[in-house]
Amino acid sequence: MQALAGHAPSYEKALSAISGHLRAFLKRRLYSRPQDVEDLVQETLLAIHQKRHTYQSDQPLTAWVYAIARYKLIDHLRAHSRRVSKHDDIDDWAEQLWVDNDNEARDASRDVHQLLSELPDKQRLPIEHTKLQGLSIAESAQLTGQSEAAVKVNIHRGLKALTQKFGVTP
Amino acid sequence: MKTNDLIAMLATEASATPTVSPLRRCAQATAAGVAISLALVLTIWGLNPELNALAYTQAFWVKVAWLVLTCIFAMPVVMHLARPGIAAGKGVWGVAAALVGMAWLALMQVAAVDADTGMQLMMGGSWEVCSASIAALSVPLLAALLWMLRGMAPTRPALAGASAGLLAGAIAGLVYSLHCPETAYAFLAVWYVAGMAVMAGVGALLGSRLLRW
Repeated sequence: MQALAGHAPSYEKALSAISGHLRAFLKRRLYSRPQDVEDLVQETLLAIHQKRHTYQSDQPLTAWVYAIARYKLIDHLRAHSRRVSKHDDIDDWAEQLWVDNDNEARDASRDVHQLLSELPDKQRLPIEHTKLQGLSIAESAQLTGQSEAAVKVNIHRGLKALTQKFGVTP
Repeated sequence: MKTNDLIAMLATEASATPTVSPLRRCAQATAAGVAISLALVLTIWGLNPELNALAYTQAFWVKVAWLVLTCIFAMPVVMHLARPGIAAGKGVWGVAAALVGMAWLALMQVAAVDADTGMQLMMGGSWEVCSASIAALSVPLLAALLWMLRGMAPTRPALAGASAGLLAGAIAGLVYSLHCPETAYAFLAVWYVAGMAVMAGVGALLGSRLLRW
């Protein structure tokens, strides 16, 4: 009551105490969106401050505070559900959005395999292993039975051959 | 912003606690609405020339008492719904009892006479304009009450708006009694109640939009 009579330190103390209760109250009810709790605590504190003239000493303070918190919570959830309903899940559109890129990628990979198929296996396999499948030189060496040095040389030669043939730098 | 910073900031404004009593605001709003509504009924509708004679009949005073009772019950409901954390209270039952009571009186009245007379009682001489007049006269009242509620903190805006609409309709019914010659219970239970119900609906719609905070 002193807090409402304009005594700043006790008002601040009362708001701090209320904010603790609010945080607990809202945390229990917003468990699916814990990142919103602090926002809502602040929003409720602001509402309490703006509407403090509606509190009268004949009613329990907790009922008043929690009624405001509940109101703000419902408001928040309603606004959130509106946002969700307006929010178009990108997965629904993935097919249309990415379809061009998929084709491009598929075309490109077809081109690459066609080009590589013209190289001898000892050059083609190391290039496929290291450049397309993401294996290391050592792994490629193990798979092809070549030495690591030979793998490096063959990759280099293979790429050089492709460059010469098609006039593009890889 | 950190919550503690917000609290500190709010605390610096602590001295500015507004001290307007809700009751006073409500009384001011109602008085303003009644004044406008009265002016309207006197200028546009006109005073019932037989009001003097009507005032000597018992039915007229039952009507006035019924409307006053409805107002008395509805007023605290509006006041309660204006503040967070308070139930609407027993006033709701009072309003319901007043409405059901009038419906009961109307039924008794109609049951006591033959069908034609009953119909005549219900339709009176002005049923076409009654509900619409009450609704029109309650517009300034509803506006004033919604303004009052906006300054408060209704946590159930639609319900608060509906109760304000009902109260506005009941007060408008009283104001309209200065013009309206009807006193049959059957007439009141249908057309007066219809006017109030329409305003309660309008109040609920407006409340859910205008009373957000």
